[in-house]
Amino acid sequence: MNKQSNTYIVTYATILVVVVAAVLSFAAIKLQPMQQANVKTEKMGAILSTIGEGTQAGMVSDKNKYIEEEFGKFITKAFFVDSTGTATDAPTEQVLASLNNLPAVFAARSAMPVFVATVSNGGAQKTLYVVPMTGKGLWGPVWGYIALNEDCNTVMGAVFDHKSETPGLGAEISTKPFQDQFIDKQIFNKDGLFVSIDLTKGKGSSAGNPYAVDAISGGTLTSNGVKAMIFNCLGDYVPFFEKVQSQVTAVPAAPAADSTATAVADSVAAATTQITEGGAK
Amino acid sequence: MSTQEKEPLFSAKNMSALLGPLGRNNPILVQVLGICSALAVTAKMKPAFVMALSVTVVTAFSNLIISLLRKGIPSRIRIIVQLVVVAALVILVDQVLKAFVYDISKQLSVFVGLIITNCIIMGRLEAFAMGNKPWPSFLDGIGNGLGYGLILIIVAFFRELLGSGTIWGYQVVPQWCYEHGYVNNGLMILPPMALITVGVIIWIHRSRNKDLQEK
Repeated sequence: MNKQSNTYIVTYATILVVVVAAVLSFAAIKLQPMQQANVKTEKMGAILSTIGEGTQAGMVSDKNKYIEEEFGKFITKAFFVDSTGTATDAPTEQVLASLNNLPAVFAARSAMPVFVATVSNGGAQKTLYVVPMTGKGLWGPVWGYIALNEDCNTVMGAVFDHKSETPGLGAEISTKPFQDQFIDKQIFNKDGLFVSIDLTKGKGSSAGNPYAVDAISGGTLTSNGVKAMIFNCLGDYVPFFEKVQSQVTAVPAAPAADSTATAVADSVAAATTQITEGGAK
Repeated sequence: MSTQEKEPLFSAKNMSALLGPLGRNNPILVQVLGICSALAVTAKMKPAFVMALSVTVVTAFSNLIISLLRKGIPSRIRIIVQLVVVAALVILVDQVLKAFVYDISKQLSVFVGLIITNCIIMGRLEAFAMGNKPWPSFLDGIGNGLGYGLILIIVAFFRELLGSGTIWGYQVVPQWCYEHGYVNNGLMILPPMALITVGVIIWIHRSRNKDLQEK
């Protein structure tokens, strides 16, 4: 057979490509369920870490199963809210699925996911709200989750992740020291106006300020992206937060609400002191 | 072919195909191939190890497959055929990593896909697999993959130790060092220091193998 003839070459190429395509599609179909499970576990793990749970994930042998169980234990409810703050109950699975396409969810603003977590805080049950965020970093998308206390004001925890920020600079947003700064920060000022959380330059400018954290040195553009993301995404939830806040104040009998109110009073006091100090400088 | 005496599986020639790339004929140190990914994935040891393993699998099996096909490949489209085989293997590796070691596959990100463009693979296919029998080609692929991986691991060891104070994710620089003012070198995390580390390794390698030095 003449191996240089066009017929041979075309036949050879066709057979090769068909065989390779068959092998690859078979592998893709077989592995797809496992890959999707991993992606889902990652999202559930991120949500859990905002409320300080699921910390053993690195040590257990079956991470997917562990995260699934923890998620079922702490995340008691999930629903969608629209831009007026009206909540629509939905199965947790469906709310989780909406996380796969967050930019579109926030563009439509008709069904934004909220997860409700119940954790026991020294015996008392405490309700936390976890909401997703998505935005643009320097090189690609950044995203994250933020957990708010029952008052929908004080941050319980936050996680951030990114697709391709610069390692050592912008990529620091996915590290614990950066994320821990958000704990106990507030998104509403003491007049009840939504102020979001600012990322400011230098530890001095954010220390003690309940509405700001220290941005990343050398990662200004990523920091700006994160700042915009927090402002835009949490801003979309503001009608919902305000609704929850009016309900919390309307039911003063609940012990959990009491402790929250004290916490708010404390942080407001702290904020006032800070502002005075800032003025003295 | 049938008149030839059957060569033992691990003859001297086959062993040199397997072990040569680990030392005297290292693809990174001597041929300076595959530098791009060597710089990108060596900030931590774990991803470097997975990358080394992936490249070894791809070089070994692409060498084997091309060597099996070598008599039938039309020479006019041989580069395309090689690329198709390599690309298919890389996609398979990528899918398997995503299914089984998702966290590490995220850290490796695009670099698994970029194994396709790793010059070591195409280089070995053209230089070795097209003209040798399957078994020696397979060994040559493993050897070159390991030779590449060896350098990756060495570079990653120093970058992780000096850049993050950890090895394989475990803290090795004790806390009291930090309390006495020791700071992790952030520059080690960035690609330029990988290049310098590779340079230092090449320097040591050349000084031990004097015949490789250029006059």
